[in-house]
Amino acid sequence: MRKEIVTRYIVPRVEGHGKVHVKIQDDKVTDVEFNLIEGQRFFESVIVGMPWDRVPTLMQRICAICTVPHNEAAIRAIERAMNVDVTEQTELLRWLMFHGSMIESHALHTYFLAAPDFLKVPDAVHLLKTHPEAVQRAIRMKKLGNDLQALIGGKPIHPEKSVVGGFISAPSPYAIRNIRQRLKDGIADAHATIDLFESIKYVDWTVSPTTYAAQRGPGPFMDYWGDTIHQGANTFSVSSYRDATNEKVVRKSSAKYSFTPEGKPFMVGSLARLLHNKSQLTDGTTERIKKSGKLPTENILLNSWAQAIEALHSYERAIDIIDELFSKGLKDEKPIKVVPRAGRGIAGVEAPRGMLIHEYETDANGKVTACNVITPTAMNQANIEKDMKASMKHLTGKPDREIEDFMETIVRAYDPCISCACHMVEVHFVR
Amino acid sequence: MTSTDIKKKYEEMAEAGMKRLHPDKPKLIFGYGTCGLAAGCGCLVDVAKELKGVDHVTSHVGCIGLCHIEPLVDVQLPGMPRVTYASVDQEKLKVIIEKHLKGGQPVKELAYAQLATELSVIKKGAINYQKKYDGIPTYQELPFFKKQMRIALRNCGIIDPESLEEYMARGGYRAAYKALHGMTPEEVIEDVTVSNIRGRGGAGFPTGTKWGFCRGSKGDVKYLICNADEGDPGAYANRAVLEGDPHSIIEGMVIGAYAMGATKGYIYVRAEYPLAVQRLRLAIKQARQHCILGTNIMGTDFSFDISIFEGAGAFVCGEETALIASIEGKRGEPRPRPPFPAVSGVFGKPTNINNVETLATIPMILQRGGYWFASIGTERSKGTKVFSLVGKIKRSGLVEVPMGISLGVIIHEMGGGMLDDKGFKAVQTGGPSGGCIPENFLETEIDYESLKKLGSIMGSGGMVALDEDTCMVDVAKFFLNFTSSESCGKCTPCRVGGKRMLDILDKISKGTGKKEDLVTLEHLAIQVRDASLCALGGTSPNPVLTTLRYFRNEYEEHIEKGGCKNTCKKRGASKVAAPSAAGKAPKKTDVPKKGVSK
Amino acid sequence: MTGGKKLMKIKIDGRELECEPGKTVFDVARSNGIYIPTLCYNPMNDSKRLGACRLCVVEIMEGGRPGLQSSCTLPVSNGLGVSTTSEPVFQARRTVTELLLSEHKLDCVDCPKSGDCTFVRQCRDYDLYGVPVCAECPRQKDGCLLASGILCLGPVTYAGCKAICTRTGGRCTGCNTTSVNKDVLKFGAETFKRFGYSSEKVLEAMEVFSATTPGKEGFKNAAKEVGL
Repeated sequence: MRKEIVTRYIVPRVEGHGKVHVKIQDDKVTDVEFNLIEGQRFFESVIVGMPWDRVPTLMQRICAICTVPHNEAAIRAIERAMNVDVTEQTELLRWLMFHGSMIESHALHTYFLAAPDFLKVPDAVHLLKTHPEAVQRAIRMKKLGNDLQALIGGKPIHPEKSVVGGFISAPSPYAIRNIRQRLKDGIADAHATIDLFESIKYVDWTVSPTTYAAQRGPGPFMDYWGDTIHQGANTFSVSSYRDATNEKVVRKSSAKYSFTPEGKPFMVGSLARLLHNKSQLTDGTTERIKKSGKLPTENILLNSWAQAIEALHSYERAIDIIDELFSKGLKDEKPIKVVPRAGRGIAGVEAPRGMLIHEYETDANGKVTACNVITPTAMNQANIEKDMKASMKHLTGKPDREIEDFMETIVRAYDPCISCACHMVEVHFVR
Repeated sequence: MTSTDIKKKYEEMAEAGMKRLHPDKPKLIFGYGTCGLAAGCGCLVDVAKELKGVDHVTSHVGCIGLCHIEPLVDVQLPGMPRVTYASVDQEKLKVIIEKHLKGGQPVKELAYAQLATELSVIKKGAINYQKKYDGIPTYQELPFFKKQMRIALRNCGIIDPESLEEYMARGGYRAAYKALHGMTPEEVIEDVTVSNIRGRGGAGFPTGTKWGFCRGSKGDVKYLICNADEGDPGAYANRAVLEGDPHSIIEGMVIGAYAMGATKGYIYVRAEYPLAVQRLRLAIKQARQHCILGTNIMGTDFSFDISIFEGAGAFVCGEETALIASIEGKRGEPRPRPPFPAVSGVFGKPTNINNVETLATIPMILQRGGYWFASIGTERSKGTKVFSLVGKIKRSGLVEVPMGISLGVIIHEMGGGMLDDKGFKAVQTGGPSGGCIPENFLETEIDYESLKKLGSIMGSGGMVALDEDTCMVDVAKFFLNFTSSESCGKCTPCRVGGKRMLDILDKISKGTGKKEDLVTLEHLAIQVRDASLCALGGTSPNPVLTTLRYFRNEYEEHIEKGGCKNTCKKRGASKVAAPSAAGKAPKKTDVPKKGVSK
Repeated sequence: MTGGKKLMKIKIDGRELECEPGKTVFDVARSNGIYIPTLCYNPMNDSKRLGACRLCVVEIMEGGRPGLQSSCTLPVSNGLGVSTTSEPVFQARRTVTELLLSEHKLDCVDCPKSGDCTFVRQCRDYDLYGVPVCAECPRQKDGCLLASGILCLGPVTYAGCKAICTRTGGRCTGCNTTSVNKDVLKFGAETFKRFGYSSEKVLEAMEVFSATTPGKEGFKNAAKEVGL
């Protein structure tokens, strides 16, 4: 008997709108399809013609959770196009803000989006009854992440203080000192999160050969940016990212699909980063990974655990950066003055969900003439389908509801940010 | 002096007054109110002074209401009715003196009317001549006077306002005597309440009830104030009484003070009425000399005195709480009510404020009884009202009519219709706080409620006739300009709202207005009306609202066509000529060399 | 507690409240958590109540002469019932705010109240858009970002966001859209001129959030008028 089930039209507990299509023949799952159905948002088209200093303002609005990654990627790309070097303090502040966004985003995803799947509750509200301290902890962590972003960037969402050339003003040292204390106290929360995700028994139905891709920076510690992309065994420079992504428009999806040069899908995200940058993690983080024995792995369901690990890394890294700032002395710096010029700049950051690339071209007046943004979730689409197809044989004979739930769990494990992903399909327009 | 002595004295004075009113010598009477003076009677008086060859007396009387044909000069021969000559100039005066005063025969071609029988409602001292002249209409035959019923104006134009004797001759101070000697204060209030007289200043609150509140307020010091600030442009009914019969006000105040237990009185009179101020001062002096004011009035243990307080030119001081502030020496700004003046007024003491016309009517009510007064008028508005009929009308002047008479009668019968026989467009009642009423409502019986229903108010009695050439947008703008510049500035809706409405009206009248502006204007007008602190702001949008209600097409014409064929296009500027008090500009030859002589 | 004074009962918005005689409706409302806005009330001169701004008006529903009265001067009396939320009250308050706004000299960049201005809060409560973001921004005069070379679009952008970006150290990017109000645009054009920014630069910056809005066109006119 042939039938088709389509999951709830909109997969719940993800950012944005996605749809899963499952084909069943007799009792066997014969095919699975995953579509991103968010509407096109045309950011890359709208930005063309705008002045260089307004690029971060617009582009950070691609997403409200990963607003800082977009803000920073856009700023760094423009700075490269304009050939601007920023001060060391600016760099430190930027990565401090970034760690804040990492903590916030991971706290949100692990507890409110993914945990219900593994703790067998319908949603985070039910979690309040079954795991009340967990929810408290989640809120505490998210607030800390938000406050850290707000401290550096001005607001927790859309940091208007962070502009091309630096920051409009430096944060107050007293506030930084306070937040350092909170980070220190919060390390226990990070550990508790890891404990929670280690206590779960994960099925291995999705295990299948996976290529991981992540950026790596010069180090010594991972601060979520880099000039090289490591994809499986290959290495690319960020400026030649197209060789790594090979984007293709696919009819069924609002976002483009990405493949390795060999035409294989690949995964970006926390797991990818932990595997490629394990030498750049803080001591406390490395300890925990060793104790857990979970790495290496090809089980996507462990991505949430990986995010918990990264949260710990961010807590510890943030404290280190603050100490570095204080040792150097916090100065009241203004943004570097930028002289607009024609140029081309590419910058990559590691957003919570994976690799994010911004590329801009400007004309002599500093107006944007071309733009390309590749988001992690777009890159992950092919891999999501791969994992789903791998799990098909384990779902024979299972009730529809369970199949549905499991497919959604897979989607959620990736922590997709679908709104970011659907930013453009090819558009021709005439000015 | 005992009360019996006083009574005897008053009767003697009354008799003397009668002799003055009807002397056995020829009498030359001049209409010596401000309207007469403006028309030029001052130099006529000078001419008459040079008169030689006939033994006569001269009398200066107040305004009888025929303002459109001032200067008025009357000749009264002993035993014969006085004959009124209208629009008299120096040539005419010489003729009149020669032929009538000296020669004994009235000049029929120049005569306007004769006063053979009493024109007002008084009984004591009423005019009643058996003999009449042929060929000269009596006052009662004139359409202007036919339907009038003169109570407040009973003495205006008849007596010399500077003669206490003449006032007493026609029943003056009999009511006060009756009240002080024969009635309790409660009985006085009862009579006034039964009469159902409502405040003639515009608000129309029952006077008896108001007096009752003040009587009921605790306090040993209470104030009674006469509001003689008459600020409405085009209204001068109060002025006629102040100039022509000041004692009627004093008598009204004595009665009122007795009724409510007031100890001190003020007459708040606008400084722009210098003749009125002068006459009032004299009247008060006379009253004090004859036991009418001061301690032990008329031989009783009731004491009361009146001071004059001159206003300094602010329209808002006609509003009672602003008036109170002004008397207290403060800037004339209204206060929110409650607390009401009857409870807390001048210097925090119970205060009662009445209009000139109300007070002038009170003695008549007590003389002839409250029920008599209540038999005149409509169901809810009793008695009579003085209207100052001005504008584009043939016969402008003052008329006193019973409530319930129709607008049409006043305008077409009494007023004689529109000037130059132009078509009637609207009548504006109630001054800048009132509204414009179009032709199809001319049959309306005038009373407080009916005018309110039409969107206007009774107000102080101003009635401006507007002809077919008038631009109604301009009219609204004129009145709004007045009220907004007279705003005291305290509350936002009046201070700012008035200006904004004026901006919009200006735009519309200049032809640059848009359709949305009408919506904004109407909405703003309603808000200003509802949210203002006092009646100035609260009624300032009335001209706008009524013209929008009845003449919206004119606004739309301005918006669509950029102007109108009437005043706007012709003049270009924005002022409708202010309704002139005399209804007629003085001729160059008549301009008096001096101002007020005497 | 009341020292022998008999308590009175009045109704505000249908709620029955007890109060001491001699109090005003405004006092009773405020002490019972019912919000009534006011501008001319000076707490340092409590006994002198003007009733002038007309913002605190309430509608008398029973127990008094029907109509609007200023609650700060309206004494309580047994059986008095008022409404603070009826349509006439709302309209009157909105009109008063709008009228005050029409007379208001927009000098928010220099005004010491900007950032904490009661009047701006009042405008926001009544959806009136005649103020720029500068009215809500706590940075003034030399603290203004425009003075340090950073093009902040506050002077021409609709207020209503509590100036959250400038308040937290960032600059205004105009995300609340450019205002169409002529006074605001004139103020904006004059402010930009004062700090030496060209209209091209401002229009460029407006492209992000106001590219096709009437506010942008309005600004072009205002810039021309002011000579920017």
